[in-house]
Amino acid sequence: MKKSKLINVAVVLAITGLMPLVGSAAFASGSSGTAAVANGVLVGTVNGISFIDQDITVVPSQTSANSTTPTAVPNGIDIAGTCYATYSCMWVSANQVGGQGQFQGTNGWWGVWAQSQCTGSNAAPDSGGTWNDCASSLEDGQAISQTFYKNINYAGSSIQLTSGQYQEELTTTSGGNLNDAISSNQAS
Amino acid sequence: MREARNFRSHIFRAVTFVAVALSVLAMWPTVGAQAISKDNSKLPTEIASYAESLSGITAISNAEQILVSRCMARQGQIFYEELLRNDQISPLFSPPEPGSLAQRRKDGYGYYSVVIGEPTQGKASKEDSYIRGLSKAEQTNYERAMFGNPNDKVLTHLIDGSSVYTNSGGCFGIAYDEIFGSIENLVWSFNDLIPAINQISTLVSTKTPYAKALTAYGKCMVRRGYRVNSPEGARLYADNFYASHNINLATRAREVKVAVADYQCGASAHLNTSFETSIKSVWSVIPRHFKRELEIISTERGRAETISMSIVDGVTK
Repeated sequence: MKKSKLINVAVVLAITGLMPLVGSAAFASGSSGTAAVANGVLVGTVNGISFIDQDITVVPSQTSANSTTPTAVPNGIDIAGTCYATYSCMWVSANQVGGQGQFQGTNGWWGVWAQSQCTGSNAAPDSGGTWNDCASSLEDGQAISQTFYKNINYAGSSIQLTSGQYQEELTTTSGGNLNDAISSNQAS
Repeated sequence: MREARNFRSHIFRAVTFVAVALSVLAMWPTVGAQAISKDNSKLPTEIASYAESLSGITAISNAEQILVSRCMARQGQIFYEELLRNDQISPLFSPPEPGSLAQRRKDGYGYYSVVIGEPTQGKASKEDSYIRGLSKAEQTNYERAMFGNPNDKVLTHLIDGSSVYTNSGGCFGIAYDEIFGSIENLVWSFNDLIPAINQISTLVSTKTPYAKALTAYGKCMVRRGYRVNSPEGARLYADNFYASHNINLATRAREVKVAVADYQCGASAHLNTSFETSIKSVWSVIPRHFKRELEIISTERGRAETISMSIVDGVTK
């Protein structure tokens, strides 16, 4: 039921033009993000968003210091509308509808992943066209459990999913309303 | 689709003070699988200890991997199991507690470091590379072997009133049956931990010494220029600095100031010690139905950890 429903959704979105070119909508950051080592200048851009550091040298492409599973491979929208095996997925709307993103491993800030549908009523005002504070439904398709957090760096209210679980809506959780509020996830 | 029996009561829908839970978890020691306490008044702390138990979390995760690997092999599929060590994982709840004032002065809550260092793309796992090499039809078969038919899913209500779907088929379904006994037990053991701790924390934060400490903390933070009434509020306040993608050293400096004020106000208000005092008496105000739920969570989690450790030991010995 889930798969056929999502395929239909994908078709509808593609027809209506809401879904941009396959593979470019959800985690376009994988292709459009750039990074460079710098000292006191622009150190990186992700989908047009500049990371400015004023006086330190950083290497933005390094794995997060807190990452326990450095295998994050955001690689674009799933054209079949399913949560591809070995990935966890998030959707812009409840009931696994709307723009879909997928990821692996531990990720300390979802703001690095662009999603064109994360604007207006689809996301929190601070989402800025990224998955930060945008997801409305979640699925853990990975062979490992996930904890999803409200704040950057695995902090704040959270919910857990284990392999093969999904949550159709995030408005009613013990951590309060986590709809359009998730900012990081941790594999464990 | 089946719906698990609804004897889970939907309690405490009010917004909870999650930060309190995180504070609690930071204080409790890491422990292994535990027997059910004879003294039920200790259940609140035991529930939290399960979430902090690295050996327990590791055992369950590894047991799942072992059982799924065996099952997939029986079906002619290759599964690259990922067995973890305790030092490779984090507690189910892992607040980025810097642990010292010096660390907070240096890196705040660690937000800046994560934001600036977060990779947009990482390295593919062995499992992922393998599946990517399969044809579309083979991928579908693989996914079916792993999770079963998409219609084989169970809807289970959590104790906080939210709900979760679990694919009950495939090799993971078999593994869950062996480790937990049922999908409902899986949900009790795994998904209900956070809601349970949140609800305990809510009770601890009401009409206890800890509640008074929180009030003192809030006043202290106001004096420092921040209108937040809990450590969770302080963290969220700092988190929002990065929301507009103003990622620079000025933002980090603001984060550090909040984190330092949070630390110092928490210390001056004696948040940790007052929580320890309050948690000891919280059992007396826990509603009967919630007590029963805590007993079930503790029972099922303890059993799952014991079974998992047995499975893992059978492989490693």
